[in-house]
Amino acid sequence: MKFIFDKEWLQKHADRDDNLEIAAGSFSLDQLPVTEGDPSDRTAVLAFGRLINLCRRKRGWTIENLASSARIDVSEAIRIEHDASYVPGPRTVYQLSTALGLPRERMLQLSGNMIVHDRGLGEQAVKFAARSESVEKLSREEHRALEEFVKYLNEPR
Amino acid sequence: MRNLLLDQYATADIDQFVGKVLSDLGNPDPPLKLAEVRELLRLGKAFYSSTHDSAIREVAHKLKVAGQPVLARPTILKDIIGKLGLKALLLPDRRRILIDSEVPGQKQRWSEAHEIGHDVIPWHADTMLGDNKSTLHQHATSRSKPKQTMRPASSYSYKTDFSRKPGAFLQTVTPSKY
Repeated sequence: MKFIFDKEWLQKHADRDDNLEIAAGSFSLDQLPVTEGDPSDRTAVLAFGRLINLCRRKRGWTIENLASSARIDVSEAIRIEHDASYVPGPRTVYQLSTALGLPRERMLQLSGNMIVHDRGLGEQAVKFAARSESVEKLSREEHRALEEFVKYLNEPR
Repeated sequence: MRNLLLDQYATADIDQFVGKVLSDLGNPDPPLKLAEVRELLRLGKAFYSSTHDSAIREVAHKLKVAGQPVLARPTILKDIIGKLGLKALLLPDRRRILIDSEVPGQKQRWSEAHEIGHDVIPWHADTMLGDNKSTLHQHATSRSKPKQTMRPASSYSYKTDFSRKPGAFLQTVTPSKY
């Protein structure tokens, strides 16, 4: 069997392709169940989010600043900092590492993209996650936001 | 083209990497010669099949990560290729693309372009080969890499007169495995 595509045929299909979802080949790998991380993985991902949060704040950046510098979606930046079950893709980790000057391989490991056989990083991640929780008193704005939210939660419905 | 698989930033980055390669080649008229792309990127190409595995054996025993041999037995790589049903693969350490010679010609072109895509996307370099300290998680392998390499593959493989639209590609030839 031989395929022959002339220019008109290619152009016609390219135009038709303009508003279609793109896909090619079997996405068989997508069908595989996602491997759930073990508890230590979750701690590493938590530490990853905390690390990004602290590095961002150290620079005085808002989440929008971070997303802009790393060229990632703001919504993804928010999930990274606040959702310990969220594993960002390799591009996002690459971009964040570059923007914040952090080692890429370690960041891939912390972020849950690599399974670490070396226990040292996992132990350090747990230590970091435990220590990096702020013990400072709430600022006036944080206090007010907390009060308002708790008040809302307590309102009868 | 509406792209639901990659976000706008990844799409723009990949198009930029592809554009850089095309620019370095002098924006040649289509059809693009993949041999010239590989020459620019210093990538070799070899074929293997179920009956002729010399290309696999040649590179397998030389594979190294961080200076250490990866495989104790060269036949392991052949076993892996067979088990996963791989039709092509990139060995960045050896600067070599291996392609299953039993794949039809047009699919070989797609596969070659796809593997070139792995080479030009910088964040794939960190996830190419694991070592004895860490293993790539399924998250990283299944969710984005195949989709990201489809974009340069489509650009390189189907570069025609609409070369100014590097993302525009046709759903006519589909690789069965990445």
